[in-house]
Amino acid sequence: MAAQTSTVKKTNRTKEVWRRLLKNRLAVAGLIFILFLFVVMIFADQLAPYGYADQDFSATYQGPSAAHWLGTDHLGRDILSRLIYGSRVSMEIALLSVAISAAIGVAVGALAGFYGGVVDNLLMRFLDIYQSIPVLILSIAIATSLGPGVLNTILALAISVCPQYARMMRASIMTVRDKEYIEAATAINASNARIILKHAIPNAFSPMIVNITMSIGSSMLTAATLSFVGLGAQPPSPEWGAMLTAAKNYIRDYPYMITSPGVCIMLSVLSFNVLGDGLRDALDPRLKN
Amino acid sequence: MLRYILKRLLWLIPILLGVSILIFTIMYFSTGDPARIMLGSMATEEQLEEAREEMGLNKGFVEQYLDFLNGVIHLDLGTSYVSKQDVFSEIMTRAPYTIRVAVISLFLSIIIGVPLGIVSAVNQYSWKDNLAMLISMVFVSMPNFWVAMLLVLLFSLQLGWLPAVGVSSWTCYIMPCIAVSLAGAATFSRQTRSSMLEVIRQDYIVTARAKGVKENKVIMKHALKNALIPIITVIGGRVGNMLGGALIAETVFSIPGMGVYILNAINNRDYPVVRGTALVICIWFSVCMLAVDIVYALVDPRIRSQFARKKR
Repeated sequence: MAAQTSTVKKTNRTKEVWRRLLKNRLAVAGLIFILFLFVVMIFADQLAPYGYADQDFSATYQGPSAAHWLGTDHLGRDILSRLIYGSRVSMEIALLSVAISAAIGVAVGALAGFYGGVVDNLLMRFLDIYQSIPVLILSIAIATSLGPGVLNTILALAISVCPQYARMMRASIMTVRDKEYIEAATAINASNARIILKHAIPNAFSPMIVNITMSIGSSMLTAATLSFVGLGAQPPSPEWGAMLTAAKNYIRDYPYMITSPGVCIMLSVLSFNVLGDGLRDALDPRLKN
Repeated sequence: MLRYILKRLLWLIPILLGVSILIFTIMYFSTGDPARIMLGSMATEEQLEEAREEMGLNKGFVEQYLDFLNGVIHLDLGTSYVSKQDVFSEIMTRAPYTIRVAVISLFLSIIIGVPLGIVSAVNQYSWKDNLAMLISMVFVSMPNFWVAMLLVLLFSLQLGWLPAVGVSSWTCYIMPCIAVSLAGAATFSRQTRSSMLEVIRQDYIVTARAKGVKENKVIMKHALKNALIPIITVIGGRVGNMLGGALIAETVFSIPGMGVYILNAINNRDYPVVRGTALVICIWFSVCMLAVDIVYALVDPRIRSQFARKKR
């Protein structure tokens, strides 16, 4: 009986959140663009008119035309095709780095918040130190140490960002730790692992959703910046930040080369940000005043 | 108050020690043999061994860290593998440029962002609010080196109003500072708006209005003052981004600051330079965070009184 009521309530809440989210036009626009990005990622092979590394030295530095909608770069590579393939690299970096850092952060934060005491205290002091290093500097240091490349960029970003999640999860877990349902679970002799995984984390997770969505955007920005400083994805990878970096040298004569990758980054980050904003309002309508 | 500042200052010591350990450890595990990088591929095994001995690379991790820490305390961050110059003095000659860009950008973003947020909050859901928030959202979503490139494109190459590179006059700083400050201004305006909105419906605001206080005064004195704490937190958190942004902007505009220095060092695998520059930036950042904490206590009597009570 009790289980039944709780499931009914749960679907209602999810539906309610969806309904509120869909009312927010900006968030819906963001969501649509993200879905569009996924479609582009998956069908890149079918959508791209050329290969991302196909060089054509008879067609370098061409402005937008019927054959090359967004023009070609200094090696005669089709910019549109590179952008389409680049969505895979850029999204891979952003999504994987956020997934890894969120997993580490949630685990560490949940343990610290649930058990408290000395471990929690030590961990928080460690995070104080960790967070005294600006994210960009930390990821530059880690990526320099690991060497350039997509995988290392993902690791560098994941390691740099996870303290934020740990801190947030800890705070969130602490607010639910003393709730009645946790007490009830303890009373029926549920193991700590079960309580944390089944009761504490699911109930403390909703502020994390917003944060995760927003940080996909900021990861994309940091990844692009890492490419810009020479770490990150290496040529001929069509990662958007790397494309911008390569185009930098031709800004004077071929400015179209810097516009399209920048617009792609901006629109993707913007979409994740407005979706995150919309989710926050939908999850907690009180905040909207 | 003095006790509080002193306590925070003392707390800075373990933080900085920890930061130095972290940075040292990260760079310690970097790929590539420093001796090889320094001497080039032509060096013989004996030469390499000699260089390793000289650089202290044969010692254990702890010993190497202590050497490094000893150097840091004596303002010696080692020498560059490539230019063979002292890292600390190089940083000192370059730091003023970076600090200038970061500080001006921070002020610029506060001056733009906070008033914009207030206007948004006061006119909630009006076209002004929607426009300001949309623009803020767009600015937060742009990589700042791309903003810098677009500014160069428009103001230097198309209009020819501003110099694209160098530091020969103050006009050279206009574009880098704008490029760095836009994202910050956007963050501040969003934070100001939401924390103003939280305050603006409180009873004391209604009371202030009811007793006939002028609207301007209600907003600036009663509302803003109470909304300030989260805004200061965000401003403090943004200091790191400003420093990072300054590093990036410098490289676009060829300003001879720490950004160009660390960037070249990354490309040359010049680890002492990366390590030293990163450490110096972290020290600045920590000091700024300390300043933010002190400003909290100045702005918020509740925080001040906590420490007054503890004294008793």
